[in-house]
Amino acid sequence: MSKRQYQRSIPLFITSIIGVIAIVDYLFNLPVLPQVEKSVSQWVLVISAFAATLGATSLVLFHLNHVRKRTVNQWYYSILTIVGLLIYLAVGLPYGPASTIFLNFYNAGAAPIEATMLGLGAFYGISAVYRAFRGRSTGAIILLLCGAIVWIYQAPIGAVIPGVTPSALWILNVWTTAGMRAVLIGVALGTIVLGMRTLLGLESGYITRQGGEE
Amino acid sequence: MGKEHKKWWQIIGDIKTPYVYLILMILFIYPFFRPLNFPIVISQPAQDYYNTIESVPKGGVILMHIGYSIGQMGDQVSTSVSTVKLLLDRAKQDNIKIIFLSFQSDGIPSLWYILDECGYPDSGHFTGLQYGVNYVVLPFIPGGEVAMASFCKDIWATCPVDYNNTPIANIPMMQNIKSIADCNLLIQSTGSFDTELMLIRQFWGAYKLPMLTCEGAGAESQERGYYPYQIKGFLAGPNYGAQFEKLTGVPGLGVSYADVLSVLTIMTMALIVLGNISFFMEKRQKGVNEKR
Repeated sequence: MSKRQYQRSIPLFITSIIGVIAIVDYLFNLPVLPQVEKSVSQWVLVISAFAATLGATSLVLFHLNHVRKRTVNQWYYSILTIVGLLIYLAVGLPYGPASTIFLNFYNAGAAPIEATMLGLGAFYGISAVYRAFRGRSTGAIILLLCGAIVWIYQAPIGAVIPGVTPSALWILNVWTTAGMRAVLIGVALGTIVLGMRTLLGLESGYITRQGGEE
Repeated sequence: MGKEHKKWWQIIGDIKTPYVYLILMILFIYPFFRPLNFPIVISQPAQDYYNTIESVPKGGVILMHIGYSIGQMGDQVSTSVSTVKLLLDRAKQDNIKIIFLSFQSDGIPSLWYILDECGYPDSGHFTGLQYGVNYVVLPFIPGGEVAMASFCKDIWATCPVDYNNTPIANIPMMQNIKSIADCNLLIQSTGSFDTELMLIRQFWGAYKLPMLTCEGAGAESQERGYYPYQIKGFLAGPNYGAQFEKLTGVPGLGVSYADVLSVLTIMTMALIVLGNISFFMEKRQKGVNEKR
């Protein structure tokens, strides 16, 4: 077996074994499996922590690169990003994320920024709706009418306007429910297929390197 | 050469953006000074949501999951705060145990904001309640769906300490709560459909634990797919928050936001109508010009 075959086969083998253990533990009540499954779950938590660290490191390196190159219209935002990350690390690591000092930093810094961004979205959204929602075709008119009825229903004033509540409930209970359940069933089937392919080693996207090399 | 005069339907279809923003700001602020008091009609999902919480037996255990970020609070905080207030009142009257938790890192600051709104640690709705006896706050539980599966099987092993690093084994109310089999209800407020799907798969799919959701207004179509089977009731947005506050008799942010929601909805519908009038008049004018 070549080195490349080992590099592909071993991860596929590990994935299949862990997947089979999880399925067997779910379906059967064998005495030794719960302990194994619990250990595997703890490994996943450790790996998640490493993944988060890797993500943060990648972010810092990406922005340091911009600062080093003085990328036009970018490098000063990169400095802000790195400084913000370091401040929250400096406070969060010694005191913990549930500490008063960390929550004060979060509530004074990140929270207003995030709330402002999403609050501005309301203005952009309504302006975009005004300029873009046009009945250009029959389908667009139907979509527009259904959207308007449900939108009015979701505000208290919808209860006052005659005909809105029964129309909206009909749209939601019949069309929306049916459509949503069709989507969810599709998602579930897709998940099952992807899971089976991963367990059987047919899905190897997670072990390819950048550029598609294996 | 003079300026070409715009027709009336061209003007209404092209109102400058700053004027639109100005009108929106005025309409947004006005109801806070002069409440409009539109009637609040209780919907079936909100009623079912309330009934399910009230049907948890005395001494029962309720899990309250908060996962949305501070930025999403405008849409979801009214439903979450009114829910937590009802849970705390039930804890006082019927000895309900509440476990506050989050599988999403963004949810922890929101969770503490909600608890502060309810009077944490010993005022408001927390008066008379004792930490560790009536309620407990768990730290962020990382690991996504794997952590949820592990939590359902063994709460102590997945989360060995509370938010204050106190061992779970030393917390009185947790002595009889070892796994999901010891819990009666999960109320989730995730702000993310992916996380909601994970919770449904792990908590309802594997253990049939009854679930309620309190999300933003845009989530109603998602909840309809699972209501009323996996999800026994739901609150979606400030309107439902106002309905729930009417049911509990404790007015709060939902009632405040309800008027603003109504006014902005009317404004948006008016803009859509104006835009479409302009569009169809433009189309008609083009047809007339082509015939000439």
